Amino acid sequence: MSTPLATPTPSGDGPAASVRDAVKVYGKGDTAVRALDGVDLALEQGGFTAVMGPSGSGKSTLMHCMAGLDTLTSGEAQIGEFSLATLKDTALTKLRRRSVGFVFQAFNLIPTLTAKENIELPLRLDGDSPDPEWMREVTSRLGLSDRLEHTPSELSGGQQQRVAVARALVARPSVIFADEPTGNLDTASGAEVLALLRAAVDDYGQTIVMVTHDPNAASIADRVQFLVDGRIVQTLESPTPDTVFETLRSLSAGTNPES
Amino acid sequence: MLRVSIKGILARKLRLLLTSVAIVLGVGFVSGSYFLTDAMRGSFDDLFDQATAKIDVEVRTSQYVKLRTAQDEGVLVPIDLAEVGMSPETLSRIRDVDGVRQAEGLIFELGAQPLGKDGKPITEFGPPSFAAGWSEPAKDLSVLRIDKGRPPGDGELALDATAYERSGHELGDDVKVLIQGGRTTETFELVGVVKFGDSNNLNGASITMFEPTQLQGLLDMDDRYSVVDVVGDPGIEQDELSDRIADELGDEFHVVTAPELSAESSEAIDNSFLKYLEYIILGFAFVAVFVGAFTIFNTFTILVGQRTREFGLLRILGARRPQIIGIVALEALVVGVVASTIGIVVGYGIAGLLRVLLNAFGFEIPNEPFPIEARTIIVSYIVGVLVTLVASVVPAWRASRLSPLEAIRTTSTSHDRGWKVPAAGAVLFVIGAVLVVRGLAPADGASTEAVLTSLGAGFLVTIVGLAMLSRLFIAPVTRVLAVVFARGRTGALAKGNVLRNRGRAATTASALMIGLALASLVLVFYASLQATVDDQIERSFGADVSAYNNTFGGSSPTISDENVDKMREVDGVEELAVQYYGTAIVGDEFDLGAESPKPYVAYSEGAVGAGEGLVRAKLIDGDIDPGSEIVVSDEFAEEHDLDVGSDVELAFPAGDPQTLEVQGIFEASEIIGAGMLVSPDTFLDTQPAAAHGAAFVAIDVADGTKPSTVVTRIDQVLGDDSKFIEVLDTEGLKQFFRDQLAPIVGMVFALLSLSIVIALFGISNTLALNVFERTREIGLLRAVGGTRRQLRRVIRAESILVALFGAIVGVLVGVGAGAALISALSDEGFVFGISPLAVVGVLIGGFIAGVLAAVLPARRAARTDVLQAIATE
Repeated sequence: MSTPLATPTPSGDGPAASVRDAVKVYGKGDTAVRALDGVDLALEQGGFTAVMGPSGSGKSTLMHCMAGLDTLTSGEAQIGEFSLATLKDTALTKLRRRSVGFVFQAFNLIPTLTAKENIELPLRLDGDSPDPEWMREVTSRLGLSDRLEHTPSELSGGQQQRVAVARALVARPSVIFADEPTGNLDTASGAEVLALLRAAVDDYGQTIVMVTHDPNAASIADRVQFLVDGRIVQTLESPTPDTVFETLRSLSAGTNPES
Repeated sequence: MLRVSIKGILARKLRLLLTSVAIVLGVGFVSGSYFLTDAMRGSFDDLFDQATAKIDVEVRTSQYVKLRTAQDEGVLVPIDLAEVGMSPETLSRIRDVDGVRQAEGLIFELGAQPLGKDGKPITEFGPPSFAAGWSEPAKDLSVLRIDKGRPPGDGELALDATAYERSGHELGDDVKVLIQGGRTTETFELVGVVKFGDSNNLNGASITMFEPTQLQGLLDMDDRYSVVDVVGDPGIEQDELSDRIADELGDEFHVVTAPELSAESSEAIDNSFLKYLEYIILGFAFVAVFVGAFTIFNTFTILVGQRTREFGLLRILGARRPQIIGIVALEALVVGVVASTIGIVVGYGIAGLLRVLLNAFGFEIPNEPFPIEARTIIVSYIVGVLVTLVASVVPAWRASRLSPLEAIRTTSTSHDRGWKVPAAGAVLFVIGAVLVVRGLAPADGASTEAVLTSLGAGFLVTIVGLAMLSRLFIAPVTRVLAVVFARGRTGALAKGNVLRNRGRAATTASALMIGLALASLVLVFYASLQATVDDQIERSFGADVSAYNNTFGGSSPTISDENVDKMREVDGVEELAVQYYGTAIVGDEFDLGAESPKPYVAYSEGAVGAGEGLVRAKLIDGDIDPGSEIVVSDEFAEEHDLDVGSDVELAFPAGDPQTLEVQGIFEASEIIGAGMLVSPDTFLDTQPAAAHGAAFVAIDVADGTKPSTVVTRIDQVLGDDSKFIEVLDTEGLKQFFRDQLAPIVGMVFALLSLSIVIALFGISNTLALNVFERTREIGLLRAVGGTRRQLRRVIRAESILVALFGAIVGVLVGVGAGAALISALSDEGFVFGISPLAVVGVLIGGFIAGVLAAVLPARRAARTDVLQAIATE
């Protein structure tokens, strides 16, 4: 058989996901807030992108809109070749199921299901079952092989987050969105999860975009996009903790001198 | 603190309103029962006041009053009017009493039933039909008045306005009348329409009016009257007049003033059907309230659980434990008051619906606003508020028990795996079972009331215990059910949701369980009665065809000798036996005050045999000979301490008391239908002529002839009379007995629907609360690719699992209790019966309840805003 563990099938050669001139406005009239103010971003296949920015900069909104959880006020969002604006709820949900993986900060798992059932959930919802070899590869790689029959309450925070990563990987989505995946974890567990995400990109060619506050976390990405007031103000290639930290400091000094 | 309670209620008003649906319905039935019966009581009181408005005193014989009372209470005892009516001599004596201005004999009796244009009795069921006499002098004392046409003379009659309208007859038509329950049939010309004061009839009871002498002849009254009504001279007090007449006549007469008569009549109505009507409706109220208590308990438990943090915060801010309990109790109080208030309004509506229903059956309950008695309002509030408070006590106590820090840290508490609830449930279950067993095998001399109380209380305590125990076995049952009803990934999610809080799921299911357990119990009882009757017909009925008169006019319907003779002549009738039905009292006097009359039967010679013949008796001792003086059932023998050879003294409605020697003892059976079997000669000597008709005819069909052919032939010979004489083959006879049980089926269905409706709200409410609690989880499911449809499917499967669990346990409990009841009654010849179809029906009802209950919560879950749900705190 040909490379079963190869890159998750992207559609064509274009970016795994992208937004063009993305604008998102919450509210109306005087109280309107422009959470996204014309963002252009393309996630190249097999790339690891971190999104950083101060609170309220629009990071989460950007991620939700790219993942099809929220709709743009104007502009265009695409996953693979699909333009999200044209899809109805059910079609969008099914696209999410197949093409998007999620890792959240907290509450990542269904408490009544075992680790294995949680990992298989998106595929099962599709009436599909995971490729057993791929399942074994992912779970052993994430160190979950002997934890599969446990329910979330019997797992540590780090283990729970690894189950979430496994769930995101097992369906081989076009892109994984990780929202502060280390936010609730201690340093050691956090580092472990980050290493696993990095490995997913390096070894399996997985596309990942991660929202984070933590310069250390951001530095494992291939590049960091800095968002301020709904706009991408800077892109940092091959970041290190120091360069990320520096950039953040210069941004907060430049955009918000009073604070 | 009040403010906290009120804000708490306002924040959850829809939730609490849904919870209180059960209380609303329960209180609705309580108040509705009172509204309706008060209105009926009021209209009867009005009627009786009207009826007695023109007279001062009424005189009847004491024996007549007793017999009429027995009839009102449903004992089919014939009245020998020639014996117990008011004689002309007595009338003269009354007229001679000082102070009497006018005294007249009036006739008002059962026993003449007019047929409509279609040949069927105008009133086939419901209130009775009376015959009244009309005479020129008596009309001044009677409230009856001619509304149309003229008073009836010889060979004529008048109908009341309602009967006239229903009969299809016109003035001048010939009207056929069944006399004395069908013993004879006569034809009269319709010449008038009467009204009862302003009413069209007697609150539903119909009146046919005849010329008095003719009516006396029809009813074998000789020259007697039912009553003598008296008007006093101006200035004389009613009491004084009544005393004077009583002094003149002595003990054998019952002399009452007009107001006393009115009160007596009202009391009689109260004790007969108004009381039963009240019991039936209150029974529904009880089920609603009992089931409702579970729903409320569950909702308060969940709401309190969700507010644990809030209570923790209040505790930190200085609230004491009693204050926390107070907040919850106060909320319960407000919910109880609001629900009771709505319930009273709903009850008014329920009463209105029942009025429409009863009026369709021929009652004439006036369409006026229902009287609102203080008692109705007070009882309604007590029931509604008390139940709500009791149901909220445990959750309130739980809320106060957590330490403040514990409370503020937990997100939601579950009291799932504890041993206390199941242990308490087990204790209750055992106590209940002991009470049931004790009720089933009562100690000697225990009163029926004590037995029923023990049974009823036992059943309820057992059910509460089971509801608490059921969380132990909800897991395995749900797993099995899930194989069929919750398949795939959504099914696994639904199963997980049920199992994660077993206590909650079990309590939710309990609401359905209780209602369906009650319904199944009645169902088993009903099916067993049917099986018992079928069994007895097969074992002890040797005839192929039977006939009876299906009219109901308040007196026992019979078949005339003429019609019996016609049947005997029909080709294919090999042998024909007649059953006579009468009542007697054990003792030397037919004294209805001391004892209620016992039925006895007689068959034409040779009809009854030991294990053979048309009616087969199972002999236990002695013999059945054609000349037997009396044969008694084992039950009767035991009750009166009789053996073969013993003498038993019986007093009858007519003739002298007789002492008869017991020749044999047979096993009691529905077919023989009485504890005593006498010879036809004895019967004819001891019953008034009015009761001499055949109550039942049993026919043996010649070999080679189909029973159904004979049925058709008999119908032809009977001509018009076949419209009220029912001729049946064996299958038809079984059906006839089944039909008599039909009201039970109606009750079961109504009970079932009511409990399902209430349980439906309970399940729906719990699901909605679950959905609310799991907002984040649902959001996560949506994010990783669950469609709205799949979410709805999860909630629906969850609902079906809970509902089916409740239905299955309920059916098992009901069937089990029914089986226990029947086995306890097996000495009485009861055979266990169950209708698998009905059981499946009950389960399907549970399933449908599950599907319906899920509709709103599922919609709500599907609408969950993903972004809001996954937003981190």
